[in-house]
Amino acid sequence: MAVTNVTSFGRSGLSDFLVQRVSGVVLTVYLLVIAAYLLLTPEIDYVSWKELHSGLCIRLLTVFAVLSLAAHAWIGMWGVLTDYVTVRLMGPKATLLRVFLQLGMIAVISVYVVWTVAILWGK
Amino acid sequence: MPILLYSPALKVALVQALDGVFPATVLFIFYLAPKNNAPCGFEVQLVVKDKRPVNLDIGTIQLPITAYVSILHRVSGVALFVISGLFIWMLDRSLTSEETFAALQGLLIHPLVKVVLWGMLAALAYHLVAGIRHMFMDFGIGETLEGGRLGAKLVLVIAVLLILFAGAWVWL
Repeated sequence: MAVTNVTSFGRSGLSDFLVQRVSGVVLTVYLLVIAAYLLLTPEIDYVSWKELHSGLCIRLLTVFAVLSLAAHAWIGMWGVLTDYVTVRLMGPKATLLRVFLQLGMIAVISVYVVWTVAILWGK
Repeated sequence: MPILLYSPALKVALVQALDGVFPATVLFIFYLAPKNNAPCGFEVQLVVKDKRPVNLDIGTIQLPITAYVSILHRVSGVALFVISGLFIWMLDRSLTSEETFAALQGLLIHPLVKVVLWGMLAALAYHLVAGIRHMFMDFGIGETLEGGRLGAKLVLVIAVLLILFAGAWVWL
């Protein structure tokens, strides 16, 4: 039985490793699509920008991107917090502080996901 | 190594005597099991204590280029956690209405805002390039010492070029 951590994303380092890569690729694809649009469109106005985001393909890509961002940020921030906000570096209060920061991080990530879905379908 | 006849009192006396004579040593005493009717006893080893200081002060350690590339990947990643919120806010403003779209455009003309936007894009560009290096290394490319150093240099060069390009896009 592998040692697992209750605050990691997939409850296993091997799973987090793969999720981090897959989400990274999805985010890269999203960035390339948006960058290509911004660079290749001579004059970006509200109508063309709105039209781009009314297509199902770009909406799904955006949702995949924000879900990937959620997983990617969760795993990345977990790695950073468990490396630096530790008892060895910060003393006995580190564990409580780290749990607090991790919960805050998860809350912010949840807002990002809900907000993005609301932008795409709520307006 | 001296083989001593077994005696608990002798062991205690020996530990005290040797510790007094060699304070900078660690005493290892191994019990020797009886073999072929030979008397059992202890084997005593003296090992010099490692008195070198443990240096974990990262500020005083000279780091290789690969370490800087890795640390920057972390720093840019943490920055992007916040920056993502700003990008989502921009997406929100740009899609809510024609007025908010125009307001966002007006805001992005401001020179200070351009610097902030450039910084946001710089963190994104750097994190992307360093992340792609990780993927190459996952496939076994650039895993040697020299390959790692070359990869780190390539990340810095490509990231700088991308960041310059982003700056040109923001200001021109």
